[in-house]
Amino acid sequence: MFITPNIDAQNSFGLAGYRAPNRQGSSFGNSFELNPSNFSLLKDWGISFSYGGEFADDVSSNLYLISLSKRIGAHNLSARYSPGYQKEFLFTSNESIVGEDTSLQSLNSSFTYKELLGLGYSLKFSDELSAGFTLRYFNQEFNREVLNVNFPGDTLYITSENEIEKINFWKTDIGINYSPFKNLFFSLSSINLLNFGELSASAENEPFEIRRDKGAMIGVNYSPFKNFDINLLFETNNSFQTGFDNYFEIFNGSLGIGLTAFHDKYQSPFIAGIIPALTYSTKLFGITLSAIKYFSDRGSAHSFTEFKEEGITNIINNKYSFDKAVLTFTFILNTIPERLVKLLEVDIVKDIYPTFTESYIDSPFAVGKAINLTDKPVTVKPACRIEGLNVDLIQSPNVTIAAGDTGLIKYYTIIPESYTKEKAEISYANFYLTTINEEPDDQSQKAVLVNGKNSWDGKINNLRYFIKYDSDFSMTYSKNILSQYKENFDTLQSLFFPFYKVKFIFENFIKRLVYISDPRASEEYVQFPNETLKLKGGDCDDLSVSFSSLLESVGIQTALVDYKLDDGIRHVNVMLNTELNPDQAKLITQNENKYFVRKNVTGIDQVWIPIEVTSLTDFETAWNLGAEKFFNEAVNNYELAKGKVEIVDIY
Amino acid sequence: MEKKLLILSLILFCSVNAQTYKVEKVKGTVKVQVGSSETWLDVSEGIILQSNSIISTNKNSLVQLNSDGNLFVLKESSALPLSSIKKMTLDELLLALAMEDMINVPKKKEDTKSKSTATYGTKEEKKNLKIESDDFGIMKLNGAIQLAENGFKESAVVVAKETYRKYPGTKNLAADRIYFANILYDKGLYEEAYEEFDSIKNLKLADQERVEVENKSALLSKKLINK
Repeated sequence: MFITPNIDAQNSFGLAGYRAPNRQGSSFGNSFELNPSNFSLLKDWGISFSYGGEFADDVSSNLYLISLSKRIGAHNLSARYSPGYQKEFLFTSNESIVGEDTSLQSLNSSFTYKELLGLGYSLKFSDELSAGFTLRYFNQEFNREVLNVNFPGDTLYITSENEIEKINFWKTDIGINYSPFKNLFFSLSSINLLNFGELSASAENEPFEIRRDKGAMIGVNYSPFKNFDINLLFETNNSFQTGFDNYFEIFNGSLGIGLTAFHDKYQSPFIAGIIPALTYSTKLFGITLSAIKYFSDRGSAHSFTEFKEEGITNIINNKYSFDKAVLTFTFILNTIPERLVKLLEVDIVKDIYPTFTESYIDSPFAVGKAINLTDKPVTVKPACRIEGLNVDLIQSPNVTIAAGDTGLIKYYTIIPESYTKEKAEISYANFYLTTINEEPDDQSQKAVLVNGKNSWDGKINNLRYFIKYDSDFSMTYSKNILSQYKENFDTLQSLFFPFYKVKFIFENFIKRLVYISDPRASEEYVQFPNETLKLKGGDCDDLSVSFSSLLESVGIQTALVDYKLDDGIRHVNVMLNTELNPDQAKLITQNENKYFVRKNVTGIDQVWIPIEVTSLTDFETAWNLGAEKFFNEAVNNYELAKGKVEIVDIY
Repeated sequence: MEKKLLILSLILFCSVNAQTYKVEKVKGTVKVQVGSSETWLDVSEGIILQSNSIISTNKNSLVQLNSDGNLFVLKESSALPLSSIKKMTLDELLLALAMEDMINVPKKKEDTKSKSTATYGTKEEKKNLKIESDDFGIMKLNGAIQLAENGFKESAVVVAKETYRKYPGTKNLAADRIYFANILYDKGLYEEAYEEFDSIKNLKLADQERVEVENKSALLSKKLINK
């Protein structure tokens, strides 16, 4: 085996004409003559048969080819067996022998050309760009009858015998395909780029070898309308093919008619012939009936000298070829689900704070964009799983995306109650988009920061999650306190219950605390109520969270008051609902600046009182300090309206 | 120690930022309540009052205050937070009115609040005790009217609004309501004035008051449509 760079071979021709390669159901994929780059739209397995007849003096039928293709990810592999790609030429030479009986016996020659095998590979770089190559195996047999003269004694014997020479070779071509738009497709391929195999034929047979002029071909397919293609394939030897295809959607499939006219440098007239084709294709199979009609007289005889001088360049299409009719079946065995949507991008819009459980149910932690790849609306089921946090996939609400359109995909998650990690860690969130199939159409992975369970993002609004986190503990704790005051409650009118619950819980709660830490030291770390009581202290966030949690657990409505000071330091204290109406306020205080009237959700005015939990003194002092701070900063300085003081209600 | 520091810092904050009022003249019984104190103290001439105080006058009493050379006389049967004796801009008035809504409990999406099932003491319906608190409210409205008469119209509206919230019975005093609604109208706060007149319509009104309220409502309605 060796490479012989100076050998030529046949050029492009397809039994079904030149069709748009990027049209679903096209049998283009099995035609290595037209498709040296092995381009294919196939998603999994594909099998193709071409069977037909040639209309010579006698009609002969052939299985032209069987091809098998398989896509593995971005790789497409093809193999082709083409028993019908052969042509045999028989000639009677001018030499003849006159026998003893004066009979005349002419000498014969036969030349057989076959293309037996083909292999193809292509790589899809993107939906727009792919490249590949094909390898094709050819066999040539030159059989010439020659005379041998023997003169063993006094008698001269002339005998004939056949000299057979076989020349086999492989040829390789490469190609690239580019589709900048859905309706425009370009292909560029070599013709006879590399040939390797056995030595060239002997001097007698060399003129009869397949001509293998090097060249290139450029294909352009344009769809000016949805179901109409215009096709042009030009070879550098000035041969070309041009035509059109028109498709009609019918019976859940596509019925197409097409016509290719070809000009072959080696044939006449200028348009050597036409190939009309009728195609019906579905997602599972395609049937193409095509005919090859030559415009020159194919019945005329050709001389041996003419054949010797011109040779052939193409086994199935040359000046000696006859009209043909070909039926091609293509079967698509798609075990890979069709991809209906593609995930374009996903952005993490908020880090994970494990205590903010409901936050991730109410609003997404990641937002993505998906495109509908089909021409029909598609309902997408988004789901995600954060490694180390979720065991199961967390489903997000379905999104319907219009045909060809993009849609916003919101990913929600659920934080398991069992999550107890105290340190932050980088994890990975896996995002999935599923449509009609069990397997996702697309998926993506992004790094996400999962904070420790005590982590807080500094937003007062999110302290509510710490307040509600351990409500069982808080309820037990508060009930234990209140049970000590049963006698007091027995003598109180019920309208005072909320106020005195607050008073008793505060005084017991505060008794167990011994210190307050620097509020600036731990602004991103918040203690749960049981931790604050265990540690006997905390900063304003911790104390306010704990006190609010204790009150909420026994039905006292609370709010956090967030004071944003000019120096960037923030302070939080608690405001609570006494459930008294404004007229009853005088029953708990003689100072109108110590309470504030808030309308509840049903529009009823109720008396709320602010408590400075960090005072760590008695209830009256904590109330006075809270009231003065709220009155001076929130009300008198209008900081509430300016946004520097915010009331965050705990539901 | 830290507790004391916190209390001290609050007092200092009030002292540094607060305006002061010198009591120049006292007639009859005048009392003051300072900060969050529960007690009312007698006011005598010459003392200095802080802005975090509420001052009240009994019948046949008055007090004259001097703040940086500006005199203010609070007449009989009146009460006023000293912090309200100040010139407010229209923007500040709008901020104060906006706070009325901001302080309310926002509507929640759904009721997810856990309710305690614990009960203490005897089961009884909450009684609405009859409490005579409106007198102080009326005194505050008197003070607010005097603020307006002395040119502090914006402050007067804020005091009146707060009084209506804290002493709901005063909302039935139609004449006062109309008085403060007209201030809103004069200040060009048509939406606020329209809401107020619309609310006043539901009160028991004298014929003359009803005519005025309906005329104003109609006028404001036209103004708001043409806005």
